[in-house]
Amino acid sequence: MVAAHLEQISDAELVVRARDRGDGVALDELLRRHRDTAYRVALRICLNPAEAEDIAQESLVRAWRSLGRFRSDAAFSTWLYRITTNTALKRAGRRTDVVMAELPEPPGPDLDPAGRVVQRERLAVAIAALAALAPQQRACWVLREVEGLSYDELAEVLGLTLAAVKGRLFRARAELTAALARYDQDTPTENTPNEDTPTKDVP
Amino acid sequence: MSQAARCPLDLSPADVAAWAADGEPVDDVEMPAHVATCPACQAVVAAVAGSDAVGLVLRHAGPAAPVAVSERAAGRIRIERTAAALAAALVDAGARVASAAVDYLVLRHRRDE
Repeated sequence: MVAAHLEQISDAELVVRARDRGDGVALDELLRRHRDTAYRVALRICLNPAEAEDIAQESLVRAWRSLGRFRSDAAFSTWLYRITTNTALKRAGRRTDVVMAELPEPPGPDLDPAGRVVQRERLAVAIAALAALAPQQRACWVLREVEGLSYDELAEVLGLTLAAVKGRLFRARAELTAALARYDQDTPTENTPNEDTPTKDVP
Repeated sequence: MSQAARCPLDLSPADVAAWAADGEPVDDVEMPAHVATCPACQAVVAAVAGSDAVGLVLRHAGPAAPVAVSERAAGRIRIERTAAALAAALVDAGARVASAAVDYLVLRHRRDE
């Protein structure tokens, strides 16, 4: 009953209750509501599930510590994007190991098993290319392509000019496109003769 | 991407790519008409084509955070709040002890006089 009631309360109201009245229930709801976003952004930037859990947790705690300085003219979620991205980038600078254990299933139920394998391979190639990007470029790409932030929001969250945002997105996209093009070039399609299959002298 | 061709309008590749991928406007330029005749910009458009499909898959997947993420955060916050309250209580108690000590010393001083 209480939980159902809380779900109808806006983020802004929860912030006021948690910040100004020390309402622990409101704070718990705020953390619960935004943990997926914090985790998802952290995972896409650091590409390591265990690390992403730590980053998400740390980001939520940092958000609580800074709640008193939060100006409600921005959305709480945008503010949390900034905290999570900064936390992830600080850690990304220290770490070099990348473990993307969980690979999402490509959409398209109409794909046959062979097509699905190719799609998964292409995705793995793209994620490897994503991992090879500079963390700042990766963060910019993730926030735009996965989280759907606008260019203005990107500039605000990342503390960059609009031109810098466009530059980072361009380089990230070009790297991913090039990686996929290399994969497509090296992968025989249905119409390409397979080198392992003899095409001549077959009885 | 070909480096030989150069855009006659000197548009930056980043601006052209932002237009191609997200429809971001480029000031005072009718982009579809320009790109149709500009090999340099066509190369930029080709250089970023297809990468959005990766984002679509990742967006579609959207992993859920383990519940422990918010539980651990809430736990740390509770510990920090308790510690802060305890510290404040200790400071307050210390101040009261110090005040009582001063009162006692003043009383004793007066009595000795």
